[in-house]
Formats: sequence, C-alpha cells, structure tokens
Amino acid sequence: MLSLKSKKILQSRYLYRIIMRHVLYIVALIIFISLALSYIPYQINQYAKLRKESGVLDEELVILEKRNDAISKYNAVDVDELIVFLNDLFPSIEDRFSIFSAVDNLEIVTETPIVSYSSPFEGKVEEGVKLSIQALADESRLPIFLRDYPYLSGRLITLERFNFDPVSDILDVTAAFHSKDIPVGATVIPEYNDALMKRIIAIKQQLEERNPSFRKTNVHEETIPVDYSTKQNPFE
Amino acid sequence: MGNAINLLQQEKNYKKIEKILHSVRIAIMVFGIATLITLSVILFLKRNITASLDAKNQRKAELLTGLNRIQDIEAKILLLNQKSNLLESVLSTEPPYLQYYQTLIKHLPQASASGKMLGIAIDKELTAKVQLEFPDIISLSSFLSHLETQQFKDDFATAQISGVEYTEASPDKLKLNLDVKFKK
Repeated sequence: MLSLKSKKILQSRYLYRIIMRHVLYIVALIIFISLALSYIPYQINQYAKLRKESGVLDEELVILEKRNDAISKYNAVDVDELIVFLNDLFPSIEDRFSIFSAVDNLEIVTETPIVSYSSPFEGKVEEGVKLSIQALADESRLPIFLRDYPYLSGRLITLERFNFDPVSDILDVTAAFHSKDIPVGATVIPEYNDALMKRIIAIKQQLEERNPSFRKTNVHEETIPVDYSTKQNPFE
Repeated sequence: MGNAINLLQQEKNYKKIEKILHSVRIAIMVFGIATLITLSVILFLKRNITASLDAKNQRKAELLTGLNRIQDIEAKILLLNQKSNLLESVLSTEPPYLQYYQTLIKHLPQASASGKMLGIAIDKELTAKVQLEFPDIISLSSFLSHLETQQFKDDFATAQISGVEYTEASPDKLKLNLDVKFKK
C-alpha cells in the first residue's frame, strides 16, 4: 500500500521538476558537507600541527639566538688571554713546585719579608695545598699584606687564619693555594656577565701592574686546555 | 462519481513547498558560503604559517651553521665562565680580613700608656682572639667600659673576656684575653 503511494509520489511530475531544478543545490550540498566533515577538519589538524611545530621552533630559535648573542658579546674580551690568565691564577691541576715562586711573589708584592713556610708537598693533593707562612710584618705592612694576598702573588690564595704579634712583628698565617679541575659537562653558554668579566680584567691588569714577575700572557691555541664538547645541535 | 481536483488546495500546497524550498536553498547557500570562508581562512593561515616555518627553519639552519663554525670559541667561553665563577666564588667567601683587622684596632689600645696589644688571631669564622696588656687596673677598667659603648656594640656581635691575669714581669701590669665575634 505504502510502496504504491511512494511510486505515485515519485512519478509525480511536480516532484521530478523540483529535483531537476535543485540538482545544483543537491550537488553543492553534498560537496559542502564533505568539505565540512572531512577536508576542513583535516586542514585544521594540519594547521594545528604546523602551529605546534612553529612553537617548538620559536623556542629553539630563542635558545640559539641567545647562544649566538652571548658568544658575540664575548668579542669584547680576549677569551684566550683571560683563560691563560685564569689558568695561571687558579690552575686546574696543582703544580706544587709553582708554590715556591708564588710565595716569593707574595713577599715582593706585599713587601712583607717571609721568614719561613711549611713544605707545599705535605698533605694530600685532593685537600689542596695549605701552607703555614711566617713573615715579618709591622703594623704598617700588615694592612698591605691583608689587602694584597688574595691574588697579587699570581696564585689564588685564601687565609684560614692569621695571627699577628705586634711585639715581635711576626705574622703567622695559614694560606690555602687554590686549584680546581673544571668538570666537563656544561654545554649551555650563560648570559654574558659584564660585571664579572670587568672584574677578571681588573684583577689581571692589577696583577700585571703590581707584580712585575707575573708573566705576560702569550696566547697560543695549544696552551689553552679546552676539553669541552659543545653540541652541534642542542635540540638533537 | 468522478475524482474531484481541488485546485485551490493544490496551489496552497505548492506555495508552501516552494517557500520551504526557498528557505532550504538559502540555508544551503549560507552553509556553503560559511564552509568556503572557513576553508579559505584555514588555507590562508596555513599558507602563512608554512611561510613562517620556512623562514624559521632557514634561520635555525643559519644559526646552527654559524655556531658550528665557532664551536671552539664557544668551548673556550664555557671554560672561561666556569673559571671566572669559581674564582669569584672563592673570593666572595673569603672573609674581609683587612676590614676586620681595621675594625679591631680601632677599638683596641695600641702601644701607648693606656695599654698595648700583644697579639691578634682572626679566623674564617669571624672570630678574633686578642691579647692586651694594661699598665694598671685603671687602664683596664677604662678599656672595659669601652666594651659597653654603642660604638663597640655596632661592630661586634659578641665580646667575651676569657682571662685576666697579672703579668709575671710586673705585678701592676694586667694581661687581658678578649674573644670577639664580628658582625657580618
């Protein structure tokens, strides 16, 4: 009964005319629906992927630009010369024989006659070199010694303690000579620290002016112990 | 009795159908335009981001090439930085012995009639042990009253007398052992 009715409807000329009139709309609707359901979501997905990729790339570029900027800022200083200087002042490996000349230099720059000191060969290497130094220092020389001892001898020295006897003008100090091996591992260039670099340069200039025996640094590539490995691509 | 056709009723139905079809056509057009606009916007954005990605990739390649060329300089900068920071950290942890010494002698009697200093010992822990000699008890009292002054308290966190004794050489002279801790 229903199929007969449907047949009648389909056979209707009016309905046929309506379909024929709207063929273009029907085709367009099919195309738009397929665009909306498949092609547009696909494109949105692709766009989201590209955006994500762009975000990652932005982060990588920020790191690379920073790294590049940091390196270019170091053009202002002579890196080789400063490394050689710092290696002299604060060696990676302790050369205990060099302590003798450092003590001699300490005597010269502080104008404090050193009367005796313990052997730099005592104690374990890992614990650093600590020397007991006795010097002749009156009340006018002691401030000079206390001002100049940290680096003007050409070696980085810190004091564990100092005893001063103003009656006999004897100064007795325990001095630690510092050395430290730099562990390999850091691969990220830090921001250029202008204040720190200026301070290092100032120390170097002061040392060269005040300590004539401190050798003028001659920079040779092979003398710079660069055992660092930097990544070619930090993102890999 | 034959079939009667109600022409008026049919016309009414046609008009209704035509109205609905008109609305459907408008809806299809609106849907189509919206779809095309959405697609155009997405394609436009995609084209832009693709162009931007190309530029960024090119910049990344340039930077990496440049950085690889100066790899040895970069390694030296790393070394310089670590060394500088280490030096700075050692120097910054070193107590200002000169400042401590100057602070101490500002408050202590030098070699004078009011007393003299026999010895000073300063260590890394900001403490100092001082040995002083006074010609008599009046000078000692005068010095002890100085320990109570605000000026002295401003410079030292603590002050402790660890011993007072008469010297062997002269029965009038007094030896004072004073332990002080500097303010940071």
